[in-house]
Amino acid sequence: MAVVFSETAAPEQELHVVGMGDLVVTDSPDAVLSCIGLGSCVAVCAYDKREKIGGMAHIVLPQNYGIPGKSEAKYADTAVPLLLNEMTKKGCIKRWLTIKIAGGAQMTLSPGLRDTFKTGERNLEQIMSMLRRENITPAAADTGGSIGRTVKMYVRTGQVTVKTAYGSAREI
Amino acid sequence: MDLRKGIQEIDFADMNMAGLFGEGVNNAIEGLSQMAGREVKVVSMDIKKVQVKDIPDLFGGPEALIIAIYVEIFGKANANGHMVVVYKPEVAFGLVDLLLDQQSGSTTELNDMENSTLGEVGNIMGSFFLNYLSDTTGQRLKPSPPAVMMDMAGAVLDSTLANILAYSDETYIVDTVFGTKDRQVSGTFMIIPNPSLEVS
Repeated sequence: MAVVFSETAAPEQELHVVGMGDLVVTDSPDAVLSCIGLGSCVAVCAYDKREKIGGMAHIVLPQNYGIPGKSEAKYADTAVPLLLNEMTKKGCIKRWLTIKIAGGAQMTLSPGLRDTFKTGERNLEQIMSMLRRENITPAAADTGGSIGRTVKMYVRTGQVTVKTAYGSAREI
Repeated sequence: MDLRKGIQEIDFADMNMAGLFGEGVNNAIEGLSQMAGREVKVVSMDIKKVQVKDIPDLFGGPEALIIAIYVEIFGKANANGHMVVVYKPEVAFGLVDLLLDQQSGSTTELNDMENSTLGEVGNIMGSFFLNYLSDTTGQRLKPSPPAVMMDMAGAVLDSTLANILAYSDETYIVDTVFGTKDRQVSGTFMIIPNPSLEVS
């Protein structure tokens, strides 16, 4: 059952916009991490409720097909370990992490249009397999469909909200 | 930049992507003109090379609502590129009114009829654009059926942008303003080539 979560208009909140292929890990309690307008991209949110550390990765593609020197956080196969590593460096213990994922939609739907890329689906598959490798099951997921999402994580509480273009924010 | 003039002045071998796209867009608008059954003219055109990451910001940020008409371009191998025409919702509604010969302001949402009309815009613009590109480059190019989407800019564009980000950080976009004598419609025409399509 979805709980409608009303955003408190606290001016001291610091909003970190996690852009395409970016990764942010922070322990600042006022921080709000956000991936805005996710389509086939996926936001992987990690939270340690003991240490109150939050991390978010905005994953664009499932794998790096051989482009050297490009950002690791862009690709699912390197971004997931990177996120877990960065969280551990900040002092998290992997088994206390709560992982939530959102995004991975297939936006270009049309009769007869060949889904050449299925980027969303492949992103999700890759992320799930990377998480399985670490023995982690996501605590919540809001994925797939053909709808855009904006994801926010409130580091103070660990709440993760998902907002769509036509709906209001709801917690996952 | 007056493209028609510009393109005549340059040597064919020197013809760059930007010029090629510009002329292709001119051709696409000509197709639209035939579809609408009246003269639709390009009022202004601006070709820019932009960072792929910054593209959603051009439409009012990744969360802004946009309407996009998406056509995939198929060449010799697999998918060779994407063509995306982006409008602000109210502008797309204006375009629907213009094409359906309705009073300006009659369309307020995207239903089957509007969807189909905009899809047809994608079909016509896509094939006219590709005709030009095919004629010039000698490549055989086909458009996919169009997809019409209305959602957040970031969401609509990111799978397309993801595909180009896998190869390059930059792409070309063409800002066009076009219209009939009494109405003007401005939209952004975005061509995202995969490397195999590039002519330089």
